[in-house]
Amino acid sequence: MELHVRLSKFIRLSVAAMLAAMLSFVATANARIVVDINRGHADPLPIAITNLAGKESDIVSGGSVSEYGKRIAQVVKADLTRSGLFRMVDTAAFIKSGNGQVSLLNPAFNNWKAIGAQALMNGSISVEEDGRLKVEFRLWDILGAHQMTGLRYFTSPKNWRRIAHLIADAIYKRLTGESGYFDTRIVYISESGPATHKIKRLAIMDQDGYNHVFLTNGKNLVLTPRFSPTAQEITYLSYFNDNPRVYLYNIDSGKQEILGDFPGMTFAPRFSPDGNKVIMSQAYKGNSDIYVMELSTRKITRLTKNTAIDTSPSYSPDSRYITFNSDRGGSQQIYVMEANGKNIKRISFGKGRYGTPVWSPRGDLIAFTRQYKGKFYIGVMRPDGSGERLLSESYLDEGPTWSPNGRVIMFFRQQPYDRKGHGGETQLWTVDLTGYNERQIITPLEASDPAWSPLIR
Amino acid sequence: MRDALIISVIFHIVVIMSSVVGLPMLNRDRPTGITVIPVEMVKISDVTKLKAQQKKTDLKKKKPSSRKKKPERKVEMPPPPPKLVSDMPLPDMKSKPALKKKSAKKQAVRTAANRAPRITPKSKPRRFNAGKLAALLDKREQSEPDIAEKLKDRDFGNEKVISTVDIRQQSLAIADAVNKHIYDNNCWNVPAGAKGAEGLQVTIHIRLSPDGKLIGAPKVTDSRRMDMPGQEFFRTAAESAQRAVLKCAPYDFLPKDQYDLWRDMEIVFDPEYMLKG
Repeated sequence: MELHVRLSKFIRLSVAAMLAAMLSFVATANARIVVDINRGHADPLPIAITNLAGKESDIVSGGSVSEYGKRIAQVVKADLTRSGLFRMVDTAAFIKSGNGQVSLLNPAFNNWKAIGAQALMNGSISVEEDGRLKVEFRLWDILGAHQMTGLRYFTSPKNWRRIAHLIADAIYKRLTGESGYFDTRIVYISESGPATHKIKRLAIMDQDGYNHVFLTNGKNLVLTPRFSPTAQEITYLSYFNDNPRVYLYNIDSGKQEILGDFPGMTFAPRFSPDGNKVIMSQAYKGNSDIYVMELSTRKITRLTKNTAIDTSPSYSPDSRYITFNSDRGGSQQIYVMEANGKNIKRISFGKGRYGTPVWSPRGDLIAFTRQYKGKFYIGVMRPDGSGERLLSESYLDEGPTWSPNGRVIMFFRQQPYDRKGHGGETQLWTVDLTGYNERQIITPLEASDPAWSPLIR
Repeated sequence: MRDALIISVIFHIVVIMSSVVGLPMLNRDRPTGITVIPVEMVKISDVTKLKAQQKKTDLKKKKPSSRKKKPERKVEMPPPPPKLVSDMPLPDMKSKPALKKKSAKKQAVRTAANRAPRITPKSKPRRFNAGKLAALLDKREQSEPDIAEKLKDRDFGNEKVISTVDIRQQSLAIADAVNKHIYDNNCWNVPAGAKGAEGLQVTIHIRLSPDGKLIGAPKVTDSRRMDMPGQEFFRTAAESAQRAVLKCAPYDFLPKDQYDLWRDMEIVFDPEYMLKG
């Protein structure tokens, strides 16, 4: 009985306490003004990048340490500017301290704020006894007056560009929340010669166009290079004695092997996300279907069995689905099916033809080429077909490939021919998901069919 | 054992009931007890259209006044053309609206006006139309380029009685001014392009000194989420909101006599409208 009384007392007290707490919460919430902000701007973030401070007197191969500090800062600036998400604060506006240097550990936040910077990167560079460069940088939040990140790297001087890309990636990741894509490479088809006798060579370069190397000599026609998502390997199609073959090429070792001779025509081989399979389309007796090959066993499985033309397959990042284009509905449209070839669903329903679907590495979008009323567009849509947005438009835009963070798409653009047959040059371009930041990638010759590597490890 | 079971059941019911009744209230950031809203909102907005409408009704009143008195009383009930918020006739006020001066000759009308406040406020909410209210607010925003200036100049007067309705209206005006200030000064850079960016709503709590300066750093209410692994996008969104608040400081345009209202504010940054619209 006594227990009963105690319990009921306890309950009453608890309920009273709870109600009191709730009332005080409500009172507090009601007393405070709530401002709803749903309008903003999508401007690039103003960031100040200073040259990495180094001694002029320290000399390594290729120049002074101070000179390397300037070069690294220039590459970081170029990377971040090209992303479209950052605006560089003019170095002429920098307010330096009495000794003419920018303070590394205690930036004068008010000075940086005064010139409109919202973030600041500064750092230093020096040479180690073994001849390696020691590079360190810090990223500061100017308005919040605190350090956001800081990293240190050791490398041989010849790798200075890579260090710059790594710094740009670190800044990008800290300020946008997602991985960067600057320490990556592009493999593409370099083209030269007249339109009727084009020499096509496989070439590779950094994502900013530097460190360009030709991988094949142009004797044999090469097509559709694709990067492995997990390793520095590419597959591509090459014609040897007029027979198409799918090759596997290891960039680091330079080793090349034939994946197999396939009956009929083989198109667009592409890796699965785990890098263990290659999915492709094959045309046999006039019918194109989707096939997948296990790289370890070379076992091939047919996924679609249809009289229509099924091509350009691409896996979802979780390997559960495959997107491809097919004309089974009358016109070329994009479809999604399960990885075993079942439950095929059409996802594009707009006017015109849809092709070359490529699943984003982050899984939320599928990039595609759309052809409508004599123009080509690069666009994106959700995997269920909703939210279609066209990002680029021209006489001929084709071959989308995603940056590893799923935020930028590279493609190739061909200029129209004039009446005399001139023109028709192809070049590489990038566009980000906003559709506003469209930029050309400079290549030594004409370029087509790009493929973006994963981040270099 | 049975007692314990009963107690347990009662306790659970109490907890569930108090959760159901109490917890939703936590999400309501605005006063819920206000029932008398509509007419007073007309006053603060200073919308010329409304003035015109009121004048028209005045003209109409004079004609039928000789026939029936009851409708006159009702027509005269709406408060005089926009002045100050605190001018509005409260139910127990006996002061006469300015309109009476025009019809001073007619004693009957004056009597009617005197009687008018007897009408209980309960009848007013029936006229309230949320859509109209929103429309009025929008119009005001378009027609008045600088709400902050308006607020500065406006004298709400210490002597006047400030009702919950006034507080509500003043709060709305302050929220509007802060919203406009942040937009006009390009302070909020929306983190576009991130995966699921449209769902990254961030609430920032700020404290202000009487001269509009920030006291301490702006606090993200869900700050623990910022440091969680896999929440990098939220951290980015939260930092962009914090930057917006810092960049736009000081908030010295807010009316000093209403400091109690804006010393503590919550600013909700919601990119959904921008990124989806």
